[in-house]
Amino acid sequence: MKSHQSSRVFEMKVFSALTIGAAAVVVIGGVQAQNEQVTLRVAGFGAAGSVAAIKIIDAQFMQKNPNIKVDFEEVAGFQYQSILNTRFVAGDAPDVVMSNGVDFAKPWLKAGYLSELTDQPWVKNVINGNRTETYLGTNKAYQFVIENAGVGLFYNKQILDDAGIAIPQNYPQFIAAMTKLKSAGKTPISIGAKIGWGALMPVATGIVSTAYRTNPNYDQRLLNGQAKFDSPEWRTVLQRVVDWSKAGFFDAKMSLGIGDFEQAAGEFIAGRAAFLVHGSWNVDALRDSKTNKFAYGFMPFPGNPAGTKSRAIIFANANFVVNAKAKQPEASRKYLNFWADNIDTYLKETGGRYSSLTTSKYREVETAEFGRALSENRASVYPVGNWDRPSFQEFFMKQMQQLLTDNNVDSVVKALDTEFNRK
Amino acid sequence: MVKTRMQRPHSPSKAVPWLHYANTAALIAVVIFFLLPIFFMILVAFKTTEEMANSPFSLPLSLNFSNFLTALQRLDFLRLITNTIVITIISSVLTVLLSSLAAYPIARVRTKWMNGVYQLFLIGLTLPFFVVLLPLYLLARDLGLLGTIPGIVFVYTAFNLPFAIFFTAGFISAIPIELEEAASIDGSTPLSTFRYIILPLLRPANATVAMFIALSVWNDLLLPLLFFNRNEQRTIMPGVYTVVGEFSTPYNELFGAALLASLPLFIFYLILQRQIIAGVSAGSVKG
Amino acid sequence: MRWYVALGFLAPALGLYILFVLYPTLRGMSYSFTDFSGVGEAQYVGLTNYQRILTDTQAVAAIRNTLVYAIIVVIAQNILGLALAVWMGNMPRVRNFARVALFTPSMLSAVVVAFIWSYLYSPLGGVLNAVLDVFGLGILKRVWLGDSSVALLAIAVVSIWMFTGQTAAIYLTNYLGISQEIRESATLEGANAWQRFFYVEFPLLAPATTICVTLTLISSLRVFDLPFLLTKGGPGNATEVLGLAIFQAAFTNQQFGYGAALAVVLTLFVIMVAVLQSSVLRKRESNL
Repeated sequence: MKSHQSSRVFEMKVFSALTIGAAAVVVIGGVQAQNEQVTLRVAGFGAAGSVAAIKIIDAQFMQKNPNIKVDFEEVAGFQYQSILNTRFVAGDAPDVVMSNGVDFAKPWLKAGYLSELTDQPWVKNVINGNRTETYLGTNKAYQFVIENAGVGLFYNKQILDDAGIAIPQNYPQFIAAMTKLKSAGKTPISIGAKIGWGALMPVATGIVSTAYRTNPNYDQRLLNGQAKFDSPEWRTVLQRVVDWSKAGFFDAKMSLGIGDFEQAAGEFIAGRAAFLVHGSWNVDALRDSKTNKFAYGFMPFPGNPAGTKSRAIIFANANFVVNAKAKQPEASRKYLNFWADNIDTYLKETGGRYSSLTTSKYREVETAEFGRALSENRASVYPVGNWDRPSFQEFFMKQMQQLLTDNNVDSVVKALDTEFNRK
Repeated sequence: MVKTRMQRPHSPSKAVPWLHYANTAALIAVVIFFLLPIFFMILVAFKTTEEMANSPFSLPLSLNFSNFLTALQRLDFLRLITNTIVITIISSVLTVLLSSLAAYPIARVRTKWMNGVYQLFLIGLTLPFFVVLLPLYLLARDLGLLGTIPGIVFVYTAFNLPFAIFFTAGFISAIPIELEEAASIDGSTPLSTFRYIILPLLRPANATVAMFIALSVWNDLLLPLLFFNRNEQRTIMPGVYTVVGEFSTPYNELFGAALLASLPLFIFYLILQRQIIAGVSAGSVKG
Repeated sequence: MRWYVALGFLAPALGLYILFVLYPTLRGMSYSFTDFSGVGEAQYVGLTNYQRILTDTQAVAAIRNTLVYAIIVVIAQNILGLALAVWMGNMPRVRNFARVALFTPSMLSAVVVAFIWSYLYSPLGGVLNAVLDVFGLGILKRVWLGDSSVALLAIAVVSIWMFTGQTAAIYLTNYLGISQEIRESATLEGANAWQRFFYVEFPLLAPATTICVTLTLISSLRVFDLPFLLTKGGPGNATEVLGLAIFQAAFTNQQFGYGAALAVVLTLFVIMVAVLQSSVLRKRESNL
């Protein structure tokens, strides 16, 4: 009995010693924590190719800031919005979150999930064309635009040279080129419209080089009702697609079964079409191509009248925002500043992307014409993504499919106006 | 129970051997025709990007393993496969167990409220998942289940129960009740009747259910993305699909990764298939 | 069985199901009475979202297409699955190989399947059109996924290809369980193979029929991923289905409340059809 009791006393002593010791460890640990490792959580969509580049930047960042560990979470692109929305609502989104254009970030901002970044040093270097995305339509900065994708015209220089065609600089020249290619037995242009995107691009690039060229604030005019779709400017650019189809520059019926992205671009990359109106990211595939080595170029779509200059479309393909409830607000800002300083490294790795910062020096040779338009401020943000109507692009794409089916410009512009003004 | 000797329905055309061979050949031809798209997938997995763009259907010029290697390098393949196997097996076993238990009274008790319970489960077959995501996430957060294997296993089990119960209850009602009645006269408790009489007879049904659940768990993209915020905690398919971008997807790489990722599932299926066949040829299923 | 014994058997499944399925579903569906965008605050708006469905041409097209799609898939997949099962049932030597092989497509995920088939259907060097040419059937060539008169059917074919192996496997399990004596007695009575199938075997396949028809019906009414990956509902609204409309409303269009209302409609719709269908099939089963 006695020995039992004494063993209990002993146990209690050991226990209290352990408790005090543990408490001491906790206190010391707490003091040290300030200089110790913090983990910065970053979430992004794994758009092909860019993840490798993100990991390079992250590694360099961690080397420079040994006390910050970047934990990059990849979420498959087509589930990204549903997953991140859910995390934001639940209050446990990562510190830094990738976003796309303005569609993802605007609702997040309205719901109060985003942290203001106006005082960050990179904000003053944002090129004009990217202010919409950076400021999300407010007068405070919220988004760091990692990269712009451009939409414009790819041309196969070899096919043009063989047919004795100069690179078209305006719409009459472009039509003349396609006519000549057609009569030479070449496929003038590759268009895939299985979801409608590929048919929308000639229209979007067309309107930018016409209505937006003369009035860069055309978005505003549409939004406040001064401009509408049932107007000569939209009818003109929509009619162009109908004209191309009627002239046999592409097969409208067939294009409805051709994948808008890989498949339509693949035709150009394989050297089977002279032109492609598409996104600058195809530069990756063209650059990596080993068998199809032909000279090519990427330029703003020449949808402009003779005697004027064409205009480029850019859109923020990938951005970062900072969570208002970030556990590491300081490290988050440090991280974005590091990105701003090293953006050229990223652009070199990914190819076919453009910086949003005037401090960037990086240019691809093949895409120099497009880059020149950006530096001369001949660029607009992708209009359809800039109207604060998240469902409108889907609708527009379906209307384009309708147009390819029945060539009826009149019903398309009326449907667009109705949908645009629906509340 | 219609218990018979080994049931091997033989072909009525056996009397005419050449007809039987022709019939067999025709079946094999149909099966191969079915598999053609999969051969195409394997071809693509061995191709380089331009080879695919130039001639998607031709034989690859050379066996190019780089798509498989890329997958192995990009993803922590072994860890992801291990996670997947653990989650798949626990979810399948738990679902099979709980659904067999629940299906037993559902198939045997013919009362109004039991029918109500059955209908309640059947509603689960019809629910659209996207609307549930957010409340499910909030629930898992409040229960502290986010980022844990039990959390995702519970959700997989709960969502697969309707199908499993539906399938198993149908199977149990086809088993004649006489055996159980005899057992209960012998003083067997309901639980031991279930354990020693019903459960062994359920082997093919359980194996079938397990296979269907393994399929859905293995190929699921949404829940692992939702429940785990670290790449290395997730299952294999969300890993594979990180290469799918909105605008461009290297499909040859995707197929290489997807083929590697599906291989364990295929083996799992072959194992379960033996269970199904063994159960069926033991002659315990009534028509 | 006493009620408390029965409840004991049910309790674990029922508990998990109520907590993780029914409760979140009801909570999710309650968003259908709000203007919830997917993030931020939600305001109660009564039945506005439900009223909108009636005037939404996309939703109306989706309801129609979903029904057509379900009818095609249920009929074709069950007939094909049943035929293959009977065929395999009579071919003991190749049966297991065939069963495994036919099952394989359902082990692939929809993303891979969609890519494979978009190449098979492609109007640019697609295999299907090439095959039709070889057999002199060039007149049947189509832009399969881009022609609104055949696009929905083309998607249904992909789904049937993917899941017929599963249906066949369930029928086969049932078929092999039919006792040899029953078959033999039918043959002795002078029935030929067709008569034996229709009058003896097919009625005995009632359990498998119930399972297969119910499952194909429910899954085809809820279809989402194949149309999402293959056509995104196009051309126009030709392949718009309810599952797709819910996803687009809730996430792409940031109208979660409206998406939830569509989801409620889909659920009620599926329950209604399933109840109708199962009461017919159950009657047949109990007639055995």
